Amino acid sequence: MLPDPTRPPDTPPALHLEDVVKRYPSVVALSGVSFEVPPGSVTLLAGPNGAGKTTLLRILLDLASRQSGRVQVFDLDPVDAQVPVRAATGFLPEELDFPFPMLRVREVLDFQSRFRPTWDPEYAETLATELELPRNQRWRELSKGQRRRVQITAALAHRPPLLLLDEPTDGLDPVGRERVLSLLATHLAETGATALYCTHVVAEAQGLADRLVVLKRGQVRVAESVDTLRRTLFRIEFRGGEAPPTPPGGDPTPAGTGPSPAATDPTPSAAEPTLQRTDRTPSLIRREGSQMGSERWVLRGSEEAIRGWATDTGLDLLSLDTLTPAEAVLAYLSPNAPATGDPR
Amino acid sequence: MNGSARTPAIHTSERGGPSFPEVVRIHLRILVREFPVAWIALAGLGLILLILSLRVWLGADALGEVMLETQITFTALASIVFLFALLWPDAVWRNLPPGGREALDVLPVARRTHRLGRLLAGAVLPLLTYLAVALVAATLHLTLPALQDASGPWGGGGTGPLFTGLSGWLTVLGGLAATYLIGSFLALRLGRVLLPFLLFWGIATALHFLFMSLGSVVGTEIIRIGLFEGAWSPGRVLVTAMVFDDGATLLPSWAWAVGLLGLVWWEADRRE
Repeated sequence: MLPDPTRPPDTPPALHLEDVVKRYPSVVALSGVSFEVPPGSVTLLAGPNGAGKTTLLRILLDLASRQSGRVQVFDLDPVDAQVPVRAATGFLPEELDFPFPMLRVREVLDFQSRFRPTWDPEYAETLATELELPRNQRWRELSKGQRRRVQITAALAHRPPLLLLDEPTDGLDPVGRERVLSLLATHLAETGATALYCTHVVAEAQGLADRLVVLKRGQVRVAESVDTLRRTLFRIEFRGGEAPPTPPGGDPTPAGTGPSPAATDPTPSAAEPTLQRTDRTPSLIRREGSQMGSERWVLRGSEEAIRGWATDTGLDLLSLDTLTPAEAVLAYLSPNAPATGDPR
Repeated sequence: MNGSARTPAIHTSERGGPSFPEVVRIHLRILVREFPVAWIALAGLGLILLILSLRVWLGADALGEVMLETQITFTALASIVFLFALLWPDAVWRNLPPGGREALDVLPVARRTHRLGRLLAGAVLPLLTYLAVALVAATLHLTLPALQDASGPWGGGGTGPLFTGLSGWLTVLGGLAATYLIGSFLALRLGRVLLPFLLFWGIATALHFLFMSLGSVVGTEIIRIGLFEGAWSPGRVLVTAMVFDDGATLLPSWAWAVGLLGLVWWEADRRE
């Protein structure tokens, strides 16, 4: 396993997952999941419904068991160290429930504070004011958005070194989303906390992210720093004549059309330009489709390698653009997209 | 964000959670807020017991007349205390059903500590109810020794051995603890108490009648002694421990309580 290149060798990762497997009676939720989250980084955990994101967060807090694999939170196994791991974690669950709905908001926060020795009452008050919490309203009388804002206050007010956020903007209106994201950005900048941020809406959180992990059907499709993705993931638009070249790594089918024969038979036909696969050869992640005689693909490789490959194969390269994290997630979630990047 | 430049602000070793007594105290406060009516009812019970005691003392000259009333009232109260101990856990865990305890489980307290803390906080109300009844009964016994009757509250004319002597107190307490723990176990494991409890007794009764109708003496006796009337039977320990203070129920009631505590101890650490 290669260590994360941005992390000094003597600094342990904030989160370390190695070959984690979680099976439910009728489904495999996580199948050999491995990745690391460096301390102080913000990692977006993206994936479709049922990808295993929430299960993964639950395993990190020992709320769910795992069949095999290794999990460490700040060098501690959550199974053996329930209390210190939870004490170091601000968890924002996907659900908006609270077991004592007759409590008023101020009492909910008081309840939380009694379990958190590092609770900062002044900071809690600041957060409550910024998020406009109705302090005297009972939990059962709160709207979804208000409940979410109370949960966010509870998760941040003890200044935890680790934040596990499961769809943190769920239930919030657009203004609320913006306010919460801005507040999160400030909190992360001030505290230096590590965050694992699960979301379906990658676009709204991509500004916060240092790293991206994409899960699909319980497997890691990609786990990379955003900087690395910016340097190595490109969308190209080209005209390539009658038979476009087949880059190595299979032939991912355009989204929604199902696998093509080429995906199971990687041997290029005689009419197609062929490539000698080397480290400098780009690989195809996604075919986005064709329009007005041109095709758009997402390729993985250095810009230099992609341009060289286009020249070698005689492509008329119309454009070459970097992808945003949200676009990268879409690319990696397309059918047959290969898993790439060192997941750790 | 620039991840490589930042480090965690606080190391995990500097953090912890509250102690077990503090967890109990927190949950006790929550339970008072959750169920104000239950605590008002406890005060009401205290008032009823006070009135009952006054009537017994004031009518001491005509003891025979008040005995029947005392007997009926104590029998009803003792039954209510046991029924309350059985069903109260349903209320304690209603908002924390199996699969719905994440809000507690993410807090920095070991799973078992947290659940047992709430369970112990929940035990305070049945315990206070028990103490209210026991103290009044003991006071009456001390001031009016004639009130006791060897045949017990179900027959005869007094309070019987209920709450007389250490054995009388401990037998009831053991039975009450076992009753509360079985209610708590069902609430923790299944999320409900009454239905599985009634189902169990319904099946047991049906089996009893089935063996009787088939003329199976062995089957009938096994059910009768094993479930209803034997000194170690759940029927006797959990339902009628307070009226069998002949020394035979003391050990079984506490053995049941300890066994059920072990079951609850194990259940309290189960992941969901």
